[in-house]
Amino acid sequence: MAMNKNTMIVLAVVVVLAAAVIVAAVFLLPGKDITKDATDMETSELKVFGNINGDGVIDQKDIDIIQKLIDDGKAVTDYPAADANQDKKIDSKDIDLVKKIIAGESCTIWHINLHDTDGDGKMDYETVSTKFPINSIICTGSSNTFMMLYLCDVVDEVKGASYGSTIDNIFKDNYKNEEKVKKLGTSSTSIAFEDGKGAASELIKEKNVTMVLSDWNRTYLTNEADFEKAGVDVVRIAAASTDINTVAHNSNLLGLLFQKQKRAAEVTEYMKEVFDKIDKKMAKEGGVTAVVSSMTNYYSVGDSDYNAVAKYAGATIALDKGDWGTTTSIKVMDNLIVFNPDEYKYDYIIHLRAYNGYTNEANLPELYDTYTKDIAKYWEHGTDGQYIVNGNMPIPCRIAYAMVCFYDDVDKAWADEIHQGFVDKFFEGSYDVSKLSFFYPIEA
Amino acid sequence: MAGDAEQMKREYRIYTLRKLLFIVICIVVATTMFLLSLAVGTRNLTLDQALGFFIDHLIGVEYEVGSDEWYDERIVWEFRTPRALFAIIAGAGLSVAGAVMQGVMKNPLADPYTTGVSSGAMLGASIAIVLGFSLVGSGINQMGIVVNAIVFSMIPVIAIVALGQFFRKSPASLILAGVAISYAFSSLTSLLLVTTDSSTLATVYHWQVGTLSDVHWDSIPLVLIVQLVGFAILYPMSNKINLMALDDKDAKSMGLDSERLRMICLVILSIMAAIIICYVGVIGFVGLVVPHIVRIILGADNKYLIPASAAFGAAFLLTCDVISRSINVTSVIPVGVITAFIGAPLFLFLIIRQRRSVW
Repeated sequence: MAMNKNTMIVLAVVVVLAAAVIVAAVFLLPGKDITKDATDMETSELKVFGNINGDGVIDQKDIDIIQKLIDDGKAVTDYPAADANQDKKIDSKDIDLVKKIIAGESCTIWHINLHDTDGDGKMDYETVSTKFPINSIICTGSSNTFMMLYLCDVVDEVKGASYGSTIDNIFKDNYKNEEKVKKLGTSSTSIAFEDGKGAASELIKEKNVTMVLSDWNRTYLTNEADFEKAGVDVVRIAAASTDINTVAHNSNLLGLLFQKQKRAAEVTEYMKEVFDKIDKKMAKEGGVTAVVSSMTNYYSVGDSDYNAVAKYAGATIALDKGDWGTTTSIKVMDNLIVFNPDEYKYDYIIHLRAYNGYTNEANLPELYDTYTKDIAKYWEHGTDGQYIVNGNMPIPCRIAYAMVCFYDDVDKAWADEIHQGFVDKFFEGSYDVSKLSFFYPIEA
Repeated sequence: MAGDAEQMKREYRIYTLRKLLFIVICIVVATTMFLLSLAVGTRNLTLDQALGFFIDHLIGVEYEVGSDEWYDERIVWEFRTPRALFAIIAGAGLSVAGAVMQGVMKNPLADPYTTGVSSGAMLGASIAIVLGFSLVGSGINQMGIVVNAIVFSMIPVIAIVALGQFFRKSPASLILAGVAISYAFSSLTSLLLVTTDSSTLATVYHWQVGTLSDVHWDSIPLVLIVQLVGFAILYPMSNKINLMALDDKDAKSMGLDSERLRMICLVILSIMAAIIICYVGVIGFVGLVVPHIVRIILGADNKYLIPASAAFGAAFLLTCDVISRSINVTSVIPVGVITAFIGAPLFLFLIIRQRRSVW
């Protein structure tokens, strides 16, 4: 039976009305306020001005938010991260700059350097400009900095570095190869700009170096102004940090500067995954007290990066209750009170030391004897509870192996799996970590 | 008789001219080394290029920012020129201070640091570097370290002046007081350093060994003014300093208050040395040995010894700095290492070669 004519008219009207409502909803109702995605530098995973949404990349989403802020006439004081060119205004010039960054075009970007600017031992945020993109750098070469660079696949871009003797031979074909990377001194904290033949000014010109990479610590690269005066930008990261936001910023910034965003994103992603695994494992553990040693017969105190590893592994640092001034390490023989169990009681001593773990060149029993024997004479537990953990590996791996030392039910295989993940993803799977020793002694 | 007088006048003129000639030669050497030093350093520049950039800057030529010429000109003007100038000023100042110190103390081992200024400056710099505390506000920067070092270097001098009223201001007493104060300040510095970490220790050590690496234009004005004023005060007293070679009582009989003059000289040359230390650390050997070398060549008359020490010291320190920058090694060699390395054998050679005693 044919549909009643009136029914068809009613249906048609309903359809038209429904369509009109839908169209009205799309065009007239307020959309999601994308400016709510705007973050500040504190929480941003890539502390670059223009990265207004604080994720790990600068992309079209940031342009959309900045455009909305311009349209809404928002003040730069409320959204400082939108001021990409740091001219104290949010306008189309910021969008132009962000577009250039996305396209990888030559420009100057503004970002945060993690740097202890006031000498109080704490990390500050310093706004700096850097020529972009980067193709050629020199760096102060601590193990952590080299590791960070290597993870982000920044290898050929490094033309010179100053480093000490403890850098792992995993880097012998790249950063430690003086035919590829000129050695600019034997200190991991300083590079002279213009001095004798060991300084950097000739290499900078020869290799068109535009950037020096260094650490946030105030004692690193104290002659920063010399480089800036010569047009070489100084970028600082906290390569030894255990804070996931800082870790993300480190890799994302390097990824942006060197146009290796994909690789950097993989590093950030894996770091988050690993820290998450560690956090889940940690939920069931904790409650140990420990001290950390980074030099023979010294204990780390205060806000040292070494203590941060043990803390993240769930340990309470026994020496935190003492007042040690602004130093980050104390000589134990001059402070024998640290062995008085009535004052400082701890069950573990982690010797976080650099040795050639990947290339299996370390004589661990000999090293163990050197690091522990004097302490064992004074400490109530002797050598029982003293462990060496290799400092030449990604930070989360150090935490994982420290947890193996601390907790009976955290086994080596779990830490090896995390470590092997790094090796497989970023070291071309060149090592089987289960066959190598990254901590010692490995008890049954 | 008239012939003898003419002969004596001629001989005296030759005697004076020889001394002036020595000073002129030292000035020429210092000037030559200054020009050569512009071509020495990390960045490979020929002498022509370096001099060209130096002159270009003086006549106001500007290069496009970021160009090779801009970069090289910056290196010559911002790094090498102030460094060479500072070496000249510091070498002259330390040598003058050393010559006067040895004269007023009547002690061949006296040097500009005898009053303990180096220990005081070291403590001030260590406080800035280790504790992060500076008298110009918190934070570690070059100015913070310099200001701390200046202020703390004055404390030993003030202490000696203040304590001076309690003991006879003989050379031996003053040297012993300086040594005691030196040890006191050094022990405080050691106390700070044992509590610190290795990277901070390395920073303090770098400052301690004496290096011109961190000298820039802002280091020049204060140190130049202090050295010029110090020289302007000390040089006119050269005849009185000559009299200080006598026993204090004998000098007094000739109208000279030795103790008062000693204290005045001590304060002035301590300030001269302190200002230098504050910028470049403790450059040893120059103030001790340069006056002796000059004394062997020219004699002990302070009228010539003081300016000659200034000229020779300037040339010596600058030459040592050029050598330190020319050695092809990975690490930077502090100039203090070179001054000792070269000065010691040179001094021994002169002592052995010199038959007569000049002390």
